[in-house]
Amino acid sequence: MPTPIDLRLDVSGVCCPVPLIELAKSVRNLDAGQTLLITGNDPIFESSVRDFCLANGHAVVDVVAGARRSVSVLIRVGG
Amino acid sequence: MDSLLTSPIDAAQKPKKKGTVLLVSGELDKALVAFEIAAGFQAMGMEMSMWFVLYGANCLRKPRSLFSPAKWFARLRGGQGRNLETDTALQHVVRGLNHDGACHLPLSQLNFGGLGPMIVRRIMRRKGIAQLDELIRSARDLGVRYSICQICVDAMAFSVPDDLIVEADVRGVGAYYLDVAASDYNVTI
Repeated sequence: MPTPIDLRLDVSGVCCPVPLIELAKSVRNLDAGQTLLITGNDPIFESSVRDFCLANGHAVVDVVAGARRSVSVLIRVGG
Repeated sequence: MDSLLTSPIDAAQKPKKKGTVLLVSGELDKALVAFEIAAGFQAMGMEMSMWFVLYGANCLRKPRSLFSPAKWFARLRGGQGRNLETDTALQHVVRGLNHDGACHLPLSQLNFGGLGPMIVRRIMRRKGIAQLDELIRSARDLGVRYSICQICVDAMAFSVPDDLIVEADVRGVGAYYLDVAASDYNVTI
């Protein structure tokens, strides 16, 4: 069964700190255990999101590469 | 006497201290200080990580002749952290006008249109002080980790690793945060 997604966020076309800023704003409104799917095409997008999760105690559930170098990362918000 | 004998062993068992140096400035004097600190601290046993943003990355670039096409045109195959879809021709102008290489950096004061750095390098040679390019390589040999900001690489059309004299990772502010959060020493030059 696929994981239900509570919030979708698209940050395609912006680079380095902006995806993190948008991600931090969105995660603030979610409760622990909820999931967020963030999509972007920054060249270091995936590692940025992984670093964000490592620093703030969230879990990376899944990473899917899409068309035109876009990457979607599914995050489970930590407590 | 006991404490004198036991303390080096304790120091060896402790996890290594970490440090970060962020180099923003592309000037010879400031770059020298940054690499002096990084190489010296690494030699003293600290695990150092160096970050380069904006003109700070100039000192890692390969020096290219004014007549070399590689100076004016970034390889079209791109490189780490580049987004070729949003490139403009102006980036090549910025890239060409930027100083490239540790031996082409200006001084922040008393530059005299390029004469200042020559005088400083001459004094350093005479005094046996390590030159910037030697420091860059010896810091690399000691195990200092070099990272370059991804937006600077993309905006200034650096082609990593083609344009650099040492290996460097292209990383972002999130990775810099992790480095700094684990550091005991952090300095921005």
